[in-house]
Amino acid sequence: MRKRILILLLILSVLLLFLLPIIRDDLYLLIILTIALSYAVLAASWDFFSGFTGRENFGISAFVAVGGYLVGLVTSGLGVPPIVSIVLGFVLAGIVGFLIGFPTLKLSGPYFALATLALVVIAQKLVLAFARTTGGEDGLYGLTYLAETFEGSYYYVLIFSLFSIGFLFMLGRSNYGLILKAIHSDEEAARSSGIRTIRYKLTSLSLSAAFAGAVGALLAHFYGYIGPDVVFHINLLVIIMAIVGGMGYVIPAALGGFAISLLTEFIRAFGDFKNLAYTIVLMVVILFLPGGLFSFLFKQSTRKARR
Amino acid sequence: MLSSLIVNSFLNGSIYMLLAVGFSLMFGVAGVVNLYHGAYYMLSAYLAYIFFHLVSLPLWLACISSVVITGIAGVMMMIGPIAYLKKTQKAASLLIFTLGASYFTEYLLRLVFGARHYSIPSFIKESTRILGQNVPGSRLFATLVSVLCMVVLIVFLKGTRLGKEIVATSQDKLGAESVGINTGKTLAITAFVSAALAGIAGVVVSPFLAISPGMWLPALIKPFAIVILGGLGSIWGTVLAAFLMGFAETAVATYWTPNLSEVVFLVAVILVLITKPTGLLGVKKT
Repeated sequence: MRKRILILLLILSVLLLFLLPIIRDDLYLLIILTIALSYAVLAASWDFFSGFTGRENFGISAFVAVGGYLVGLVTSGLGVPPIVSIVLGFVLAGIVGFLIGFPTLKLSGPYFALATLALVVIAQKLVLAFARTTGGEDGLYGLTYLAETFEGSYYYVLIFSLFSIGFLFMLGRSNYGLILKAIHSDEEAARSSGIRTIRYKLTSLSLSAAFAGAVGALLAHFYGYIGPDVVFHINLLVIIMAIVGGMGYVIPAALGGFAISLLTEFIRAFGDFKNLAYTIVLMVVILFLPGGLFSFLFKQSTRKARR
Repeated sequence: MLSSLIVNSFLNGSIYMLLAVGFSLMFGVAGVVNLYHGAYYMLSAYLAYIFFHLVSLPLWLACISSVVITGIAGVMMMIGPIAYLKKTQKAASLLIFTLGASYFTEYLLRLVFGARHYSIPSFIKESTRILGQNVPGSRLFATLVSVLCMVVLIVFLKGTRLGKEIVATSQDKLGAESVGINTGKTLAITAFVSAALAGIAGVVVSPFLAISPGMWLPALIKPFAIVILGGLGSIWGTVLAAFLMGFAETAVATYWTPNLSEVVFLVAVILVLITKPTGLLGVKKT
């Protein structure tokens, strides 16, 4: 019963998102919704690797940077349509994820955490060191816009994010997702029952990174701009979103991303207090509410699916 | 050119050693990857600034009290959230918690002090000449203190009862408990030592590196990379890797470009991980 109500609510809110530009002619609302949807995808993709396998990925903004800067470089040179650079960002970030995961995911221990932390520092330094191509602190302007109008961009991002989150959610509920969770709860046991755990962890990381790269490209096209200020504050924010939303079920994390992103717009005036408050919320949630805010929606339904 | 390379690598490497050994100790003894380690370094630097400039304590007292307070902060972190998280959940949320706590400290300091850079005066004002290189007194002092701390730490671990208890806990926690070692106490002492070492590093670099709210991140990632390069749990490996890092950074900065000195080292660490995951002097343990 509860499951049906939830599905109904979900469909209704998606419908509302589709009809919104027709109901209300509010440009500001459309823009913050577009950004919130992109963040929802980021949080969902972070969850798809880290929440499922329990290995914390601290390098999400490096993957976003791969997608975003690729757009900057490709668009300024060739002027290809957005869809091409989004696919390119998807593929390239996936490859970077694979390369980082390949040596470090084989090992238990903090190797993966270090590699992803280092990846962000490397990306940050490279952006500044090669300022002639990346624009350095100023970033790159004048990229092709996603669509002619804001409504067009909004629908572009809406369809992209619904597709991505839906895809990750379905994959997470399939056998593939269950195997990832089995690896999370006992990797030794999973391996001894014949699962090639490294293969699963690697594909999951690559997919997660690929979606982050695609969002990077998407955001770069949406803003018409890419720079360090767009990319590198994403890192902590996405982790906060996924943890506060709830890990291991994709949709709670996406809801966390959506909600916190909207909230950020409304408390923009608080400036630095906002960041401080987020970190406090993060610590409190980890200590006292490890499941996150929205995961209660899903605990029941997954148990049913397993039966 | 060569002598400047040698001198500068040693000066930088000794600071990295001080930071990395504390990080390694915490991992070896408590099994905790403490991503708050860089924040101890920052905390202590800011405390030294507060005590010296705002409270007007004498310099030596300001420095010692900030190191002690940082050590106590390390104990609080250990017996509070870290112990709680280790008991209740998978160790992975520890990484996120300690990283979040580091950002919390950064944003808090940013709110109070702004993004401005601060510094404190040096203990040794005069510069000396070593191998024909002019070395500022503040940097010489930092290196001397680092080497001294390292010697004291090794004497403490090998020579005193408390130190031996810490080593025993790192080798086998259950075994240590069964021969009557209070591992809770050794963990707390380890946390104090680890945080205080980072605190000392933070205080001694303050005269020549800016005290700023972003200083914790490099002070976390470099020691982390050093500890992994040297091999987890190996103190001598850590020392070796720290000086290698000092050398690599200085060499890249002198002969190529200072912008990429960290990048080259981090990429090198990742390459080492691919070929020899246990690090340079690490023991195989899978």
